[in-house]
Amino acid sequence: MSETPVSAAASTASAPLEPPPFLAFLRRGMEAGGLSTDDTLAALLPLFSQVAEAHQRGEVAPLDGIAKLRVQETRLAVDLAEVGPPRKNLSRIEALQRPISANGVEVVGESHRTTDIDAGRMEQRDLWVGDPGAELNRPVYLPGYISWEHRAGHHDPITDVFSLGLLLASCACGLDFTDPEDVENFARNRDNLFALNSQLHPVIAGMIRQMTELNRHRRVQTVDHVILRLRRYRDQAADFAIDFTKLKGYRESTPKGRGQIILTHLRNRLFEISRRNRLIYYKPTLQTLNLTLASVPLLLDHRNIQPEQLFLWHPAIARALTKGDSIVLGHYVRFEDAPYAAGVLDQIIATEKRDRQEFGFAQLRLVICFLRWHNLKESPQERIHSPLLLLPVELTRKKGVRDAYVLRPLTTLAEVNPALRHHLRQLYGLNLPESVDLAETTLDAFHQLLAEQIRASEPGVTLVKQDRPQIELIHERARQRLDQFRRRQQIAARGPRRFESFDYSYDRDRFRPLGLQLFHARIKPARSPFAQVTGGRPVPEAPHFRAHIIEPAAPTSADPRVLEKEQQMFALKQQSDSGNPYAWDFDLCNVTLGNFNYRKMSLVQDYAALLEHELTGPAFDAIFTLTPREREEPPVTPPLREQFPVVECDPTQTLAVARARTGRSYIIQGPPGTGKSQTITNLIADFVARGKRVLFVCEKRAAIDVVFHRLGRQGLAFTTRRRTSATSSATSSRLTKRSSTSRLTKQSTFDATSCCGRWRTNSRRCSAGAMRSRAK
Amino acid sequence: MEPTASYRHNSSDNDFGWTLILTAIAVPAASRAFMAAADHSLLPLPYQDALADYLKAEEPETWAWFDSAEVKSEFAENLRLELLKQTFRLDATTYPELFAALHDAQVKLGVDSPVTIYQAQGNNQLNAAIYHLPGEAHIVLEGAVLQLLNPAELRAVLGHELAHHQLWGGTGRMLLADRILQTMAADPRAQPSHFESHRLMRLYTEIYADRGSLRVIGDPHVVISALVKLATGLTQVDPASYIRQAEEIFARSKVKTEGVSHPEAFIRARAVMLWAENAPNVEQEIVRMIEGDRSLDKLDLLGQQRMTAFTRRWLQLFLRPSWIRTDAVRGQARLFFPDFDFATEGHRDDALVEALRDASTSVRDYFCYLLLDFSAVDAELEMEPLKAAFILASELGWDERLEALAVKELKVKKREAQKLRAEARASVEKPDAVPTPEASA
Repeated sequence: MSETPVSAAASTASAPLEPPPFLAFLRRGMEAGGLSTDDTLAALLPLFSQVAEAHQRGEVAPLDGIAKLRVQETRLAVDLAEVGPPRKNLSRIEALQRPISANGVEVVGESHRTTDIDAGRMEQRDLWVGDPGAELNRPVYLPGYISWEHRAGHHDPITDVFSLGLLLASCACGLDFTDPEDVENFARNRDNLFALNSQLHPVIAGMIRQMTELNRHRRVQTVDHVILRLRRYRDQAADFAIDFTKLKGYRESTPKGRGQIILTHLRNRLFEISRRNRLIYYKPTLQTLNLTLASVPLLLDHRNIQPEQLFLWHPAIARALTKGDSIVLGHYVRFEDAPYAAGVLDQIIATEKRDRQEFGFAQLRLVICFLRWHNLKESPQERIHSPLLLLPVELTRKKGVRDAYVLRPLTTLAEVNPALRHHLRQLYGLNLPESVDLAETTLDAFHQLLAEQIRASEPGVTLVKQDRPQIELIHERARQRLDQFRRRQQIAARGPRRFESFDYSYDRDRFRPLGLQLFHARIKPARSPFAQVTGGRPVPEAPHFRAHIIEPAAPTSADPRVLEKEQQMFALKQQSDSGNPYAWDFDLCNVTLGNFNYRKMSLVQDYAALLEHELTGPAFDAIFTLTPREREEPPVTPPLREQFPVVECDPTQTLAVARARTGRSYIIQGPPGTGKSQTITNLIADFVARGKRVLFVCEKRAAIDVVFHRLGRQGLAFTTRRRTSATSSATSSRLTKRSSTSRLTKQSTFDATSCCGRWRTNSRRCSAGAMRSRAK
Repeated sequence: MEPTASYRHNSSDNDFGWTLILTAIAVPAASRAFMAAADHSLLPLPYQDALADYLKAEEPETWAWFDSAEVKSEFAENLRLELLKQTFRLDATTYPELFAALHDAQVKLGVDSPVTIYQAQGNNQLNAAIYHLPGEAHIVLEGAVLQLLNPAELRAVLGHELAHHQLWGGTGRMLLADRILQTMAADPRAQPSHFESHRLMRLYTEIYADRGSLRVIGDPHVVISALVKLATGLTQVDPASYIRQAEEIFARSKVKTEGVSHPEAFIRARAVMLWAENAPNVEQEIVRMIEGDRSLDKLDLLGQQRMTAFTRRWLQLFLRPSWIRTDAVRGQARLFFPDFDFATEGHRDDALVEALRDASTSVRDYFCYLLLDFSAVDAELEMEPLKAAFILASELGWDERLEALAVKELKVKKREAQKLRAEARASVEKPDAVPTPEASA
């Protein structure tokens, strides 16, 4: 059977002025800055499902080329009429495939190198890319979105998998496979697609690779499998054991440049700027309480609201907070109108207590200022709501007939949200201070500073200070139509509304239990939609549960069949959304209390500092070997009398302890329960026995406790001292440990803070950071 | 102002742009033993009563506002005019049989308002509808109803329509409830429970109207044959055979209605039979056919009210040991009920356990998730709350499900969850052998 024509070419011939719909779609996507993973999947998954259905019926999709691909808004589809029976030419397929599935060895690459000596240039051509005009003599990648199997007169479901893989690669990496250069580019980088798109999700990259295997035996065999994996791409642990040699630009860099690349990579891994980062994409949960909102009385007439009744940054509250005075929340918060408030406050107190026990410090903050802004570079239309200034506070409950909640500032130093600070620096080069002393600087001054910086970076942006809550007056009108039979039809046509799906989690860091959400969404009797307009008391509703949807009022009807009732209401406007990405808000009217977790940010800052100052250190270099190094002699097991294990120890652990004596840095990595803490205990004992001092640093207090108690059980408690630190710049709990020798006299009060200071400027910290992140 | 009811569900638009229909009727057979059934007094069904009470108590402002509306004379006039324009009005001299049947139905149902009957034009679908105005009723027949039905069946159909009128008349309580529900369900902010309440109200209203039909004619076979005739257009119907057919459906599966405005014919037929036979548990059986298993997604307002009460009692039961009442747990409980009050130590609630025993799977899952919420909210309590949760769950036979959920959601190790479950089983079976959560505290 002869080769089938390349359909992409055919389609260009028939409609020379208009590119095939898929290419137009792809170009639009590229012009808009590339298709995100979710865009790509939204576009392709419906097509994948269509193809999977065809396969179930024993048919194949018309995917030889992209001429028959339709674009419906943002989705791709094939015309069902074009779905047809498979074509078989297995003998030819097997004949062509034989060379790559030869016994014993597997051919994984073949290329032509042309070196132009005069020009000092070498050209490399990958032979996996075939010439569309030449005769097919082995499996190759071909331009025009076709598979080599199509050319060989064979088309079965596995062929479709390949075609779909090309479409996926095309969308995800922005490649146009009608262009032979892009095909080559793809074939060359198929193993490391991150070189083509550094934002590519690892699961997608892996899937593309498996779908576009030339060898049919190694390809994913069913589209169903692909759909399953892609749908769940977020759940899958991408393989984080990154091979640094595959990082973009790594090979070409100087050793020093490589260090920077690694550090940048490690930092970015700690710092997530995706929508899951709640410090940037803030979303109210049951763990936070918007005090301003909870202090707005549910009056029907907004003119009766007095600003000093509200919890926002007005002089009385500013004075109390800057002087360190306690504020009784009951003066502001309307517990009668916001019955959910007490429960949320109890939760906040409980979480704060737990954090203190677990990490050694509290994370309770009062967000006195939010920034509402836009990422003009990536998604200009999306308004981002991020906490800006966070004041460390303490919340206590005084028991009484009615419990009183007392808020007390712990300092006048308000922290600038480190995640946002870092993000804004990366994005816009804004240099915000780490903290603002409210006793010295007014919020107005800080607003000025921020506004100036923003203006300098992007003159179009205005930063408006919002210091009065914005309310929206709602003139709601209820109308009774007396000819209700007309409605019956409407209802029947509309059908019941579907339930939203629930965003829940039982993780301790983001505790949003499902039972409570189900209760509020489905169980609690729904109030009548017009309860309020007919004169009912406003419904106190926790703001996190349901967005209040207000329908625009219909024009008054002169129809005598309508009975009307009107009521003026107001709603606190929570997001001023003008839709203008250049109008940002400095919002003082959503004062929010909650526990904010930014423990990792101190490490991110350390990485940033290292990158900035280009510090080097022997520990870092030893671990991420950037230059050829001497072959290390494996450590030898020391003689028994030189071993000091205090807990059980197997031979590999003994070797690990012995390795520490060489003074070289190394990483111990392993799944839970494999004896890491045990080894650390022995390691500490080993150093102590040899008269050394050890500083043991750990993110979680629980891990410190394990080691501490193990030492204690061996009667070594006298040698150890446990310390925890609550300052944000030293967020790690520490266990200081020293021998009871005379060394102590020199520094009998071991100062964890100064120690930390030293570490922060010392690149050894880096290996500690790396160790921590690897151990995660 | 009001509504219409129709004899059967009418999916296509008619000339009036509305549908309201009451349908169904049957060929009279000899009544015999069923005469007794007609003596049932015609009262609203328990659901209708309960929902009206709920609306009056929980939405008093809305209730008052709807109550204040009066039908304006322009509207009534307008409706009368539209009917005249679009239909053919029937009169007693030309249709003596029809009006004799009407009179008989009026007497049996105690309806003394004037009733006008019309024949719709240009609509061949079989149906009958009533337009209700205070103090007057307008019945519209659609299609060849008069030719198809014999006089007894005609009486049954008229009985059904007039029963709507009778239900909505009187104090107007049911009319008010119906209007409120309709408005709620039509509102863009309506919650699914508003929609579901409205739907159930309409379904029960049809059941009520069929009872009115039975009251007029006395013989369920007539009611059923009219029902089948209007649904199928057949001229010969054997109601007994259709009743057998309905019984066969119910023998095969636990069916519940999927209808939006009218229950399916076989459900209506069976409901009429059960009522006529004065079957034991007739109300419960009708509830089962109309509401079925109450899944969490399909709760109506009354279901929500009931489940809210169950939630409170369930939490009181689970949180009865004093050791569990830490600040975090208290705070969590107040997120459910700001006024949550803890039960005393040793509190029991066997009635609740009984009520939940046959819960649907989604309801069961909800109650299991409540246990998870409180097992995870305070890490300081470690595994103790989960232990107690397993004990409570195994009383209901939900321990297997709880085990799966604990592994999935709380990331409890499978073996550990199995162990907790086994311990809980043992303690439930032999209450003295293993310490109860109270004792272990």
